[in-house]
Amino acid sequence: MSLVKILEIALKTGRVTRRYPAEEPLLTSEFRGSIEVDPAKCWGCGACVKVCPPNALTLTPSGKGLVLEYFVGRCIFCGMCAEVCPAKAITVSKKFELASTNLKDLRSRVVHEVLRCSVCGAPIAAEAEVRAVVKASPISEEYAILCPKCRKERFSRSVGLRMGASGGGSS
Amino acid sequence: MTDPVFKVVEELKGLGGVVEEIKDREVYLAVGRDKLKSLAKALYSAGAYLKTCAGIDERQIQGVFSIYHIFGLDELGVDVVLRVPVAEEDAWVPTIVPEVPAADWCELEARDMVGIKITGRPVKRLVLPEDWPEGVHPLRKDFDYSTRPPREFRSEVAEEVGVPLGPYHPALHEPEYFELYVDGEKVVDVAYRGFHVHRGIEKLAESPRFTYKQVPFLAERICGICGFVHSSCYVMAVEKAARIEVPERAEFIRSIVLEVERLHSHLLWLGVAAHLLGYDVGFMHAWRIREHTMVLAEYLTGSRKTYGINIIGGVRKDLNVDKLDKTLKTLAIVREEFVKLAEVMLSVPQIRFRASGTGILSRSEARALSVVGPVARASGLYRDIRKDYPYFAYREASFKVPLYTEGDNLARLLVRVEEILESIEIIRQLIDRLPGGPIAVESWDVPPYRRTVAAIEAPRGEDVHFLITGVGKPYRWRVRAPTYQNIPALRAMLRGAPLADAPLTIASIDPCFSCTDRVVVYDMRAGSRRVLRISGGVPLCPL
Amino acid sequence: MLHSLLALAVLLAGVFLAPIYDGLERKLRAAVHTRIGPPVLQTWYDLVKLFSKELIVPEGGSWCVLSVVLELVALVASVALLSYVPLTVSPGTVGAEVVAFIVLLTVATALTIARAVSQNNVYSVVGGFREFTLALSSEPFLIFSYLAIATGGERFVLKLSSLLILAISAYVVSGRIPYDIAEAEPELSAGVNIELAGPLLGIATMSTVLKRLLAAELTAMALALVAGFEGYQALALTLALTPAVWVVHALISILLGRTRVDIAPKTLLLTLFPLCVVTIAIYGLGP
Repeated sequence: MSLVKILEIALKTGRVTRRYPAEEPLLTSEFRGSIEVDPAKCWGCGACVKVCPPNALTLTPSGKGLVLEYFVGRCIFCGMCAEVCPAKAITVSKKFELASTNLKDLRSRVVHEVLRCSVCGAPIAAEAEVRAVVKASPISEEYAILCPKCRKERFSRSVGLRMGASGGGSS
Repeated sequence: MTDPVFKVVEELKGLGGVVEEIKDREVYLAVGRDKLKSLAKALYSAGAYLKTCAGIDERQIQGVFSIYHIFGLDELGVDVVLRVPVAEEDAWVPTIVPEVPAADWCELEARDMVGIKITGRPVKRLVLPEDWPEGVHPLRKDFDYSTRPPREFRSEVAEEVGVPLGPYHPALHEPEYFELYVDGEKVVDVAYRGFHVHRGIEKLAESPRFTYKQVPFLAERICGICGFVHSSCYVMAVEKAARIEVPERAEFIRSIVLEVERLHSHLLWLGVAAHLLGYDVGFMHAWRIREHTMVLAEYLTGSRKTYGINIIGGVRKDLNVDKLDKTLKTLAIVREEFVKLAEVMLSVPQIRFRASGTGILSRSEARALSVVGPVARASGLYRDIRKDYPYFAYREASFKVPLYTEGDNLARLLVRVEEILESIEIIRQLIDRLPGGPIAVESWDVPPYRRTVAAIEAPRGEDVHFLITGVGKPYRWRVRAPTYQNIPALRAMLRGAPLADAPLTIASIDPCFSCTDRVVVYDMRAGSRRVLRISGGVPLCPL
Repeated sequence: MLHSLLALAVLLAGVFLAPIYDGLERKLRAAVHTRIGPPVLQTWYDLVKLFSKELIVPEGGSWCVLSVVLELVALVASVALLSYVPLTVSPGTVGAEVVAFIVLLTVATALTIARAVSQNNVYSVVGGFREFTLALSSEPFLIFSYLAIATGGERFVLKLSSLLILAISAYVVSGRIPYDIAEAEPELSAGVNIELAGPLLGIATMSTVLKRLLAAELTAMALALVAGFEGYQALALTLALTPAVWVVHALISILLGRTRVDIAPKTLLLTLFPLCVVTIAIYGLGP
């Protein structure tokens, strides 16, 4: 009888369940778990925040600084943040045993110092971001420490000076 | 446009339709509400199926409300969309249910969500809960996503009911509510109230928080079983609307992953069906075999479910040689074990005699309700979106579409059994023909106010996404999941049948209520066993 | 005196062993499912847990509680009585113990049904009716075949056909798949025990397990008697064979699906009734 064959199948298969957590869980090499943000590498640019579908990553000013907060409770473990991070500061771990009785355990933060304009004092961006940009592209440092408004002013003044110097006064 | 399509369009023009737009496989006609019924009738007689209808607040684009009736001419592979614009002060359209019974639910939903009145038929709230205030319609553009309207409690006299099934019952895996009116052990009538897990996803996608880029992840969470179908359908709609050329390799990868999803879904269903018939051995073994596909999915995409690999313009993850190799090995194991299991299961006498001859859906009922997927194919309707409106890489694979005519639970079971074997074949062929190249476009741009219809054959049937693009995010995104189309058929299947068959019959349409629900609540009391008239819920299908 | 001590011993052993046998059945089921399954003592753990919960009296009131307890008492008494039967069996006579056993078993079933049907819960009521249908389709045959064997007919053919009837009807009484219709959640409106919780459910669970013990013991005893054993030998064989019969019952329930409430009585009656007629015919046709 065909239906008795199931006994044969079961015998051959053995047991497929695991005594988790006494045994290791089954994970493949591709598994996406929670993320880890490396504070040393993070720029505080907010690219990850922009792409995060459920808003698990948020960038908020806090006092004198800028805080990147990762809330695991909202994370959908898609890994988009790791993909778009220009600093390669985000790694996707294989951690999934994330439950905790303390809500604080689910939040992790990277605090950035904010660079302020040396002229007017307005906040520009996280210091780490500015440093990284300066390293990657040829901006002279004296412009790097200005906010966009002051940068424009200084630039137009210097152009004006140059034009004045070569022409010695208009017409 | 091919000749037969041309003929249909000419006929519709003759009846008063005005052609708005002709795309490759879509024709849009504007029609006045006085002519709507005759056009709907003509389309139906021409062999079209109703895919769905959508109520849309188009005031920001064209200053009107519209209802879009989306028909599909399967044999020609062309969608015909009838758009009925109505002014805000005078927002009503006639019902097309007498001509096209399948329009029952979507008309009510349009009425609930946008406030377009439907005349000529009994109306009830379908999606909005009983305590939602009158005149407040969530999908209107002036209804902000974060609004929480005050609840208006209404006293409702609970009538005596036969046997309540839900909203919470151990036999159900998601909250849904069926009222089964019984006479002895025979079901005499059925009322259904669903939408208990409505999450406002269509509105969420329109909210400021979301952009085109993020919606695929939202779409993937419409369903915990066929999520990838929804995310694929969404990106397909955007890519069609914006004319983004997706690289071939990405289309192949999408098709392969879609078929892997079909495997896991059908094996899941098979296990559930076995469990409902008391055959837990079948349940455990089916899910044991399914476990191979889940591990495979995780290895291919990074996650067992909610794969997260769809992006607009392609996919995020490639399939390297190791992954392809593992896929083929897994498929070989799955096929071998599944064939043995199917043989054993079908030889269990209780399964055979409880599934055959029960829950019958006749071909004419199936046609009238435009049912989809295995439910349609088990009732003699040869419908499969992969063949009728080919998308992604399905043209590259040759496969059979199983067709049965009995329309009973056993037929639906056998359709799915065969589809598992066919899916394995499809994946093998696609891997064999996998082209090289990039897996996503470099950059893309979506112009606003373009419309498309996209459809994918989910494990449960046809999934339709209708999209109107907006600026940076969708303007309107309508999702019609397959179970939405199939539930109304349950009334025909359950009537006159033994009560004991109800769970299997309900399960045989492979209901996915999370997909379907966009809510509702009912109040009942344990009651007598007399035959009673329907006291509430939405009477299913006016057939 | 010795006899009563023996009966007590059998009773205590039975009550202790029944949940263990059930645990073994769950382990066996798990093995066929390719799972590890719960530990063998799990049914005892479940019972202990249930008894540690607060007593909630269902709407049916104290009558409901009383019937649950009485059912257990009847079943426990049946287990004790069963040890008397092989010792008092003699051809041509129907001993008091034999009759008492039947009465107790019937009372237990009747109590279940009465309680289920009297609850203010549609699931319970429908479950009770389904239980009633099943009982009607099996217990009369159980009684008939049991009496036939206990009164010790001599002819082998007679004994064999009675054994067959008993084996089938005893299995149905054990409330396993394919005949667990009354309390199966996928059957929608089943739920004989739906109103019970905590200690009451614990008692009901114990009753279920004891019913299965009785089903196995009855079949084992019938085998022993039909094979020609009697007296203490028969009793010893009965007790020894019980776990083996239990395993066979377990395997049947694992390998089959659940039948439907309208089909079950038909199948049972169509099988058992002809067998009864045959048995009677054989008896009537003389030695």
